[in-house]
Amino acid sequence: MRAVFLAFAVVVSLVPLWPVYQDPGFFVALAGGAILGALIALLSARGSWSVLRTVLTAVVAYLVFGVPLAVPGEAFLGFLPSLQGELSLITGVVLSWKQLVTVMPPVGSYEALLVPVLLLSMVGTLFTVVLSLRLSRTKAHAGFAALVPVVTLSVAIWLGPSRSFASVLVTVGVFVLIALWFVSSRVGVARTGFRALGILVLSAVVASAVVLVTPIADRTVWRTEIDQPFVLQDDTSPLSEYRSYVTGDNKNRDLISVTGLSAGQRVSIATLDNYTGVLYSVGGVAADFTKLPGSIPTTAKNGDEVSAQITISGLTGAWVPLTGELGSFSFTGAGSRALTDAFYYSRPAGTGAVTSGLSEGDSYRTTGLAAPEVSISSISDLKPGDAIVPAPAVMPNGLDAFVSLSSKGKTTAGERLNATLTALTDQGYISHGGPDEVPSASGHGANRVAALFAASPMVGDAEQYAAAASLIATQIGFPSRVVMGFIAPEGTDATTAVTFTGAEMTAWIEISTTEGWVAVNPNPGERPIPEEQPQDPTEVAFPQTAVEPPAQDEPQLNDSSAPEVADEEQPSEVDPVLQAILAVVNALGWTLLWLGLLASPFLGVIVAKRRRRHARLSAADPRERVEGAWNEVRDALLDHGTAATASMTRQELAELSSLSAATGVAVLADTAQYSADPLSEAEVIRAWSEADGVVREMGANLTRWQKFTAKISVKSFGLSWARFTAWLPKRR
Amino acid sequence: MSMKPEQAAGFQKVFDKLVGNVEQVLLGKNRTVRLAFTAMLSGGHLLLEDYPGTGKTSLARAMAQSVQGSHSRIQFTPDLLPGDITGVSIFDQKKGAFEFHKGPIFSNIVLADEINRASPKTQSALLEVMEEHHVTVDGVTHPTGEPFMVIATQNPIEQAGTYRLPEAQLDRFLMKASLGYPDHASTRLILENSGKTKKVELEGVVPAEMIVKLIELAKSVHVDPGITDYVTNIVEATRFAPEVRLGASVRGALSLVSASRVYAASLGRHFVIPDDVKALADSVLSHRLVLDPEAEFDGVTANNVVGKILIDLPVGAPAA
Repeated sequence: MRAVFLAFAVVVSLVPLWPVYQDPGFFVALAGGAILGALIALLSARGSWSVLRTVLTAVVAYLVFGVPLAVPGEAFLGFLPSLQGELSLITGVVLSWKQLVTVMPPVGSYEALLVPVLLLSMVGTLFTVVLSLRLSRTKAHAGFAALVPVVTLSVAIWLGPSRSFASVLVTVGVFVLIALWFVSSRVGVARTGFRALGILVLSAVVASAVVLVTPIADRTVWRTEIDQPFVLQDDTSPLSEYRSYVTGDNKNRDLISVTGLSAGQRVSIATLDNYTGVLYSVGGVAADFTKLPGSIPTTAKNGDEVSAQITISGLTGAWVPLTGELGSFSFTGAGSRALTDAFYYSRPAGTGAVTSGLSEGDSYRTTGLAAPEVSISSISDLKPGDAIVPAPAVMPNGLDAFVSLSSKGKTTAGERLNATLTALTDQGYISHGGPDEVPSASGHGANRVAALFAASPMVGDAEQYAAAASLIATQIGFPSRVVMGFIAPEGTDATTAVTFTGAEMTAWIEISTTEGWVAVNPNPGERPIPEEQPQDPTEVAFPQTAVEPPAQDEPQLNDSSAPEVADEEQPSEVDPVLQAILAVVNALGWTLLWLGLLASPFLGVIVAKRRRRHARLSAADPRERVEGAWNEVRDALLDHGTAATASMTRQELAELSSLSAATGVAVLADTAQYSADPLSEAEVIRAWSEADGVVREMGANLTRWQKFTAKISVKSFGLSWARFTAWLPKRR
Repeated sequence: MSMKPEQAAGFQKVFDKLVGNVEQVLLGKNRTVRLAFTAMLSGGHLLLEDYPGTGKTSLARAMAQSVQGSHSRIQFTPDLLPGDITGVSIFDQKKGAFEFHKGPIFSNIVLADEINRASPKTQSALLEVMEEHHVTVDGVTHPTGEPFMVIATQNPIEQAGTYRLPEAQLDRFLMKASLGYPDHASTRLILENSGKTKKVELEGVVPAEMIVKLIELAKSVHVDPGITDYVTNIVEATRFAPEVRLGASVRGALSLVSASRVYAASLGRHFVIPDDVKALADSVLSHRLVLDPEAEFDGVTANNVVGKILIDLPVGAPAA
């Protein structure tokens, strides 16, 4: 039953995966897999199962229990396997590994990404327990069982995040458990066991020292090395590039050409639903970019189906302009095969991306269901929907006050949003901050939006107004997101191609209502901008919002990283020699601590034995003291590996030991217990003297390893694992 | 009043004297001889079961000769009648009354040779005398002498013309022992001496009265409650063993304790330890068990059952 230590070691070794999941389902899969693996291993060992039978049982258990443990989202009634769940479970054996390292953490219990945890836990426990139970303890290869937790630890680290998580604790925990497994083995194990334990301890100490001394830095793991199918960080927010399209050279540059649009219909480049305080991104649905078959069913409740042929001109990059929630999609022309392979789509975001990036001349046909547009005046009748979008990380200063002032007296969410957006469009003026325009900073971070609200008059462009409007809608209770793209101008005919230039790039918002997603244009109309009003602090100082933006979120995209540089630690002035000494002392201290931790179970056993001896020696009754002397002899015999049973008498056990002095102590103890005669103090002294002589004689011809294992053996405490497994069927 | 250590030493001396005397004619059978005298000094009877020619009768005769008392031998045959053992009442014409003529059972040591050849009726004639040490004929009770011990022998091989001893009869025997064939050296010695000397007649080394005193003295050997608990556990285990249909009786438990007392004293010890109980449990209990026919068919013997109990049952005290 000592294999329990190894089973725990496997469980502990998988803890480094926690930052990848950060979901309770992780522990369910971890514990469930370990229990399944251990049970199958026990049954296999007790029943002397063949490898085939053991593997088949493991496969059946995986299929039966795998769905609720690793694919809980597909489980029927939350705990019963379903067909879809089984399919995910089976394909997950092969596909989930790469998916796990290509999806941005935390992945939670998304799709079948818990399958690796379940498999590692179940298979690791199964292997380690089976090997521990079925390999002969006295053979050198018995140590193979201890390699399994080391392997699972390595795999967990490689599958885990680039930043280490509880590395020292986990490493120490795994090696301590393995050490306990070694210690709980039978006394008198071959010297190979000692050597293996020594190597293990040494490697653990070195590993811990390296972990402690080496500066914490991002490490190379599979996640960092694998070719990511779509790295969002590289294209976090096309909205942050908005100003570059509407000003400068791109202003008049043809970006895309679309055939099939009618006037007012839209082409979206990206749908942005995650506000970080710095920018709007598609981070909220980051894990949802998947490859697509030729067509997929749409889920929108309403909207116009728009079928269009789109040709890329100047709008190169990852983002793929679409006409709404995707219904069908196919690249046309040369390179379509490669582009199709590189195309990913996020259904929740309604956003497409090509990992290789679009280039001029690429074209495709798409059909989409566009969200219907509602005017600001029509919002009053709408009610908030139940779409899920990430909550903004921070609300800009002044937004709450602006909403309060603008929607004073309004009761319903629709009316409040109507009033606030009306105020935004009424008070706002458009300026891209070009050479001949009123100054207007780019960006849509919390500071920029706060500045928009604080300014009089408010000056900005679609980037700021869409971001502000989306945050306003969110504040009022409408799930909201920003969409960047183009709107077909008046006079556009579906039969002819319309070409969009950079100047026509715009942004709007989509809000979730009971009718589904609807598009709202929050941008003010183009009109002359009045002179800036003198600031009166008493009037413009809006109350602060409840949520203060974190300091690190303040810098805008265009800001330099000067504050970070300023915050960096100044180079150390400490003497390098002193630094080296401190490092050595630090490593030495941790190593000693580690060794102390490792040795603590052994020291505990030795201390417990000393206390036991003292209690026996100081018993009040001379009979008990003499019996205690024999008990010392008996415990020493047990700890030295004598195969004693409870049915053996003292003299039988003494004869078994082949130590004549032991028989003398046994006779004295029998006399003490079974005769009615009182015992003299001299007899007590003789008993203990002979007992100590017996114990010394026992250790006389032993190796150091045998003496050590006898000292730390717990058999004399009655902690025989056989007692705990007596209820199990006997091994054949 | 418990036995004193010096009394135990005296007991051991006499015991060894008896054993040594018998060993003059029975070579290499120290344990069986000790068991036989243990039975005698426990006030019990001994059943010797073994193959022909192993020395059963020699042992019985040697024991009888070692004790300076009367001894008799009864050869059991199918036509033996109860009266042939206990004695009969014959009408004395001179006195005009029935007069009781004592049978061979009225001796200190009675050798019942091949006891299983007699009919159950005749075997049953021994029941009263073995337990009560007296015979009742025509309503008159005739006590046997003291000490009184029946040493019965039987052949385990022959089936034809034999009657298996009833359980009640078996229970009357304190222990069952077997001699087995002598070892190589002993056999050789026996052969070398076979033509040189006449039949050895042992001298009695202990008077019968001394045996009676030793029996009484053995009863004073101290038995700790831990020992009685251990014996109780063993006896109960025989009753719950799956291979056993009928376990050991209370008489069996009493026999084990009294035999253990003698065994301890024979080793010069004035108190009983678990080793004494373990040494005697098989001899005292095995013949009292009735095995399940299915287990018996599978080759399980009563000795196996008792042996397994002794291996499985923890010694009550923290001995191991």
